[in-house]
Amino acid sequence: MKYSIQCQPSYSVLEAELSPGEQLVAEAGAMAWMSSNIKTTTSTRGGILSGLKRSMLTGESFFQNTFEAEGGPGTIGLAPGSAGDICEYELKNGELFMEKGAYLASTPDVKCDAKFDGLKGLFNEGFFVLRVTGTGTLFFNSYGDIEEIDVDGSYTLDNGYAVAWEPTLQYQLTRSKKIRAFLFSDQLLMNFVGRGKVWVQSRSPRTLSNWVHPFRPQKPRESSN
Amino acid sequence: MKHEILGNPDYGQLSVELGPGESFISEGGAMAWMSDRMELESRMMGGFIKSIIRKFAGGESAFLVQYSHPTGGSVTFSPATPGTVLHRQLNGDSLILTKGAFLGCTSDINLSVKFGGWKSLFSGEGAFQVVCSGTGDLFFNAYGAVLEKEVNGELTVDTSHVVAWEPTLDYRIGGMGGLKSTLLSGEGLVLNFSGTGKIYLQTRTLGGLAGWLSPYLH
Amino acid sequence: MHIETLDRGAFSSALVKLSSGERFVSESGAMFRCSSNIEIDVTTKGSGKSGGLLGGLKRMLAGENFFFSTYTCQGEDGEVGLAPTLQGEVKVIECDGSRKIICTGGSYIGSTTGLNIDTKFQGLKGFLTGESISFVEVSGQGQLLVSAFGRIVEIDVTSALTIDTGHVVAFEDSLQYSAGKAASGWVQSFLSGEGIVLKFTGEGKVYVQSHNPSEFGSTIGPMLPERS
Repeated sequence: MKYSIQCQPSYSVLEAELSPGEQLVAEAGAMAWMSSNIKTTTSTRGGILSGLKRSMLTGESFFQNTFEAEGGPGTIGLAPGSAGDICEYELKNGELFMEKGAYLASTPDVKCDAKFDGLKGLFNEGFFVLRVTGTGTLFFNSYGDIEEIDVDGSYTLDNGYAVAWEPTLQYQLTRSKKIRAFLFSDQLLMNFVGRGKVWVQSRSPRTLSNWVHPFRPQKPRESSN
Repeated sequence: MKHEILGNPDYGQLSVELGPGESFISEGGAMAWMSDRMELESRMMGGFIKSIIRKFAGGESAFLVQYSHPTGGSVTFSPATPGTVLHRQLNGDSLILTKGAFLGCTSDINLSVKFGGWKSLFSGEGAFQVVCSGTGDLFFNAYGAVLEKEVNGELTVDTSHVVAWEPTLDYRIGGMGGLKSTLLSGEGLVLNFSGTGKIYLQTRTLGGLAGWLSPYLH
Repeated sequence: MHIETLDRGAFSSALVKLSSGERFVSESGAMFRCSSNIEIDVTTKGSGKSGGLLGGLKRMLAGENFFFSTYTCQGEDGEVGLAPTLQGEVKVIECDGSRKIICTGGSYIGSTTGLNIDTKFQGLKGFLTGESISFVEVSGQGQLLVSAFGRIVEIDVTSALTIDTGHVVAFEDSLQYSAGKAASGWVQSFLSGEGIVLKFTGEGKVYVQSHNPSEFGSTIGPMLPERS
């Protein structure tokens, strides 16, 4: 499979050229354009439970599409929902963790599942992340610019800005140690410890969802009689 | 008239410098800043009924604004969504724009609203198209970056990624392969373009943004 | 201390490099990444004389947060990354103390400790700008960090400039502004879709943003599920 990531970094798209019989898996709704000889198969990939887990717990799509070129090479363009960049990551019997919403596409031998990350600290009802395993190429996307940080020791991120991290890193959800900040700030921090890479996006989907709140339509009030 | 497109593709804007007596037409509400004492006059596109149709079906404002300045001045326009501003010089040929793509034009460009057919009502976008023809400068905008694809044969495109196309291209509305994929793939309906000509695709869609944001809303 | 703006694309952020003991102030919650030797605190008193409960309340009227966050570097060198909410540029404005800078609703992100962050009541005029009834007023010497929706354009006003509401980021207080109609008549102004515009007069710098946040909000808003 030949591919290129175009229009980087703000509104990146992935364009892949598939040889006959070659497959690319993508989250539902990501197809922007494709040659007319590309066949689409829609499935849950790994059963209904896997699809449910993925969609309910991590905000990814219940169904995934598999694109395959038939009778000749074909080209497909994939675009994420949010503005931002796309990263590629090679897995060789490997593992990578991602925040929900970060999965865009992968070659067929890469598996994407939801994982409950337990009670990582107080005041937190638990945390679901995506666990990607297998062998092949993975494409993930960020909201905003993306930066790769090599952690050696420890590094702190605000919750909501981590896109992906290598399994050699451990993290803990914390608050500021200062008592005032602890009481008056709702900032939840992710403290990464160990040695490995973490990909950080420069904007937060949660902050945007708060900002857009007043622009959403109001639910009509039920009459009380 | 001099024009300059600034900030592409991150946050494109159009800046127009008008000499005395020159005028420029833009989509209503697109002005960001301008010289003092600029004269604004609102105009309807192709008559009252068409303007109303355009407003309610096309998602554009009902009125266009004509800008002029007695001694010369400049206006800077911004689309409602960040992305790319494109320029196309028309020399008697025409270009078809989808909903929300029109930004501005010189006064010799003709704009007309065209109904894309009953099937297009189900495609979400493109039910009403704006056909731009004549001779002059046309400016349109897209959400995100823009890829210009030369179609020679066939190309399948997600409806909401289409910004504009040349009328030498034909299209039909279809599904994604089988019924299951059409209903469940999350792509909805697609446009199958055929023929020879250029198509402008935007790399992001507002529907895609809304879908991505939804799990974060409370 | 050194402020680096990371502006590879449409989503700029700022990286503030601090040496041991140095401190930086930002609006509450703007930090998105930092080295682990940065101590984070919240306070109503950011820098200068603008503290206390009243200062916090006044800032809320200016479309800002009640609290400031402060970052103090301990031990070796450290860094704090700050990110705004919307996509767009961040910009460092050097303040030499000769002119005050007025920041409109929400554009203030952070400042060095030598700057006074206060608020200035604008009344109906401020409200008509589509911003807020109060603006943030920055005085003193130091570096001010502002954010915008889209590109930031610095315009030197020499006599007069008309700016649509929702496009002003900050301006020097040597400029005056008034709210008025876009076209010569009210009917035309309304029909043109521009409505009220701001007329800046005098001499000084105005920082404008390429895009209008509320226009973007009203475009995307109706496509989202209803709020409860």
